[in-house]
Amino acid sequence: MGADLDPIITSVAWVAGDDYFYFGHHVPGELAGNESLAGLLALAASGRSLPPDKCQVLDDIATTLTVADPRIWPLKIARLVSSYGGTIPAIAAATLWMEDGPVGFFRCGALAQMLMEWRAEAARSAPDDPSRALDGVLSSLYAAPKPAPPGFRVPLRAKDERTAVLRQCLHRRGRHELPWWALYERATGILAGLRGLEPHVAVGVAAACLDLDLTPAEIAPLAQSLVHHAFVANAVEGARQAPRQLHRLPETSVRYAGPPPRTSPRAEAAIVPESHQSADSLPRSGVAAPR
Amino acid sequence: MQTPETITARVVTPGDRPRVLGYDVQGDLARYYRFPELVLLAATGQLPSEPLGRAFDVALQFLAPVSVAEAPVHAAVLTRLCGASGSSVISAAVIGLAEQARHFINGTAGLIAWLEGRTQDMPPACRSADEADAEAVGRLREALASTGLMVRGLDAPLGLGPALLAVLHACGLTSAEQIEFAIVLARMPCAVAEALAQQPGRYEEYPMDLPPFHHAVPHGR
Repeated sequence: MGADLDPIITSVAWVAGDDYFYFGHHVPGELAGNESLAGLLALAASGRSLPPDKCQVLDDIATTLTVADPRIWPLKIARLVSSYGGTIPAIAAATLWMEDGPVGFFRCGALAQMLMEWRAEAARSAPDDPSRALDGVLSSLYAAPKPAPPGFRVPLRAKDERTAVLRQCLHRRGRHELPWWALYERATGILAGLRGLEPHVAVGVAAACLDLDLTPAEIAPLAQSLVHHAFVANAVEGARQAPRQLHRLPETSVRYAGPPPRTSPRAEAAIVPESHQSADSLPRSGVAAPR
Repeated sequence: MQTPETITARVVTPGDRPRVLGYDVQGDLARYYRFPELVLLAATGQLPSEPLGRAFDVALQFLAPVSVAEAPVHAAVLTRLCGASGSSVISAAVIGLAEQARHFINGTAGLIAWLEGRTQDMPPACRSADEADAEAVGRLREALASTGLMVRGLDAPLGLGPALLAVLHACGLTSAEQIEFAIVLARMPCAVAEALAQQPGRYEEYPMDLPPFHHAVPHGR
């Protein structure tokens, strides 16, 4: 009865009677009343607790990234799906793209990895003074006509305005001189001078998270979870409003760019020309032959 | 708490020789039945007759075209625009289509009861909207004529959507969930195709103000 299956080992959580644990912490006794949402998200992504001062940096990141305008493409997805009155399906649909989209905050993990590779390459080039070597590393990697590095494209505008907001928050907390943010500032300055490139705020988020001693694999899901509220807000209002104008746009709003109207071979074969009709048949042209 | 050691299957027999409700797929159904008929078997528990299978095929095809003007496809196109992989695009399309189907069923409240003779009057909301809608129902009747299937209610002035629901009902799909499932299945190919035709990252081609949003500061701010 039932196959012999190897058990799956989990460190996330366990329920034992009336007790429940989250990453080894007793929820009622240790976490409830003591842990923040940011701390729970950090545990979810990394399995480790972050002290309160680091959790506040996550709060700063989440707040900085709160650009929830429903016209922005992923948030529009939430509006479209929630227009039928449902909230949770809209949140689910609107967040799917983040798994492998080239922009979006799940990419912060890959961007953190990129920053680490820059630093490692600079240390290899000039072990005694890696910061001076960074210029040469970035020039050799990204001088035109080579492709720009990931994270250095800001859709539809010259600069990502959230970068300055994040910088301000880190300054306020005295975290602007930590190693990864410092490397980020030097690198973005070099790339701006080299090719006029501006960073998407995701690169800064990656640097700020590396300074929290998080790994790239931990940063990806954590950074993505810090923007969840924007999708919730749009799904909630969208479901409440359920606007009919999103259900079906007027035809005048659509520009068709596919093949022109045409008849299928079977339909053509089924149409009996007038000249092939019998004298008894009705005098109609293009009559479909009976099956 | 004691729980069973096995999970229950009720439709598909797992293994190298799968069966759907007892019928061998590879040696039987795939040889003698078309895919829409397998769908009806899975949904209703009964292998359909030839007229029923053909009528279901017609209904699925009439349901299939869903354009970018409609919310589910618009959402799936945006998902692709944001750089999503195929699986994420498909998932987004299916979620949107399921929401649309649910909304459509809710809008035809009372139709199933009328089709089943439990109420006298056709729901007013199911009446055809205009001449174009009535002509589409005429084309549906023509397409169904050769199947020989009698569809209850199809001689009434139904709109195309409710008329298609009547055909699905005649094919044995009598619950809201069954009808929603058929609608999603029918619309998936066109929805996914339209979304995958979108080039990722071409934000400059997307009309951000369609439809327009206006901002209103919440009370008390």
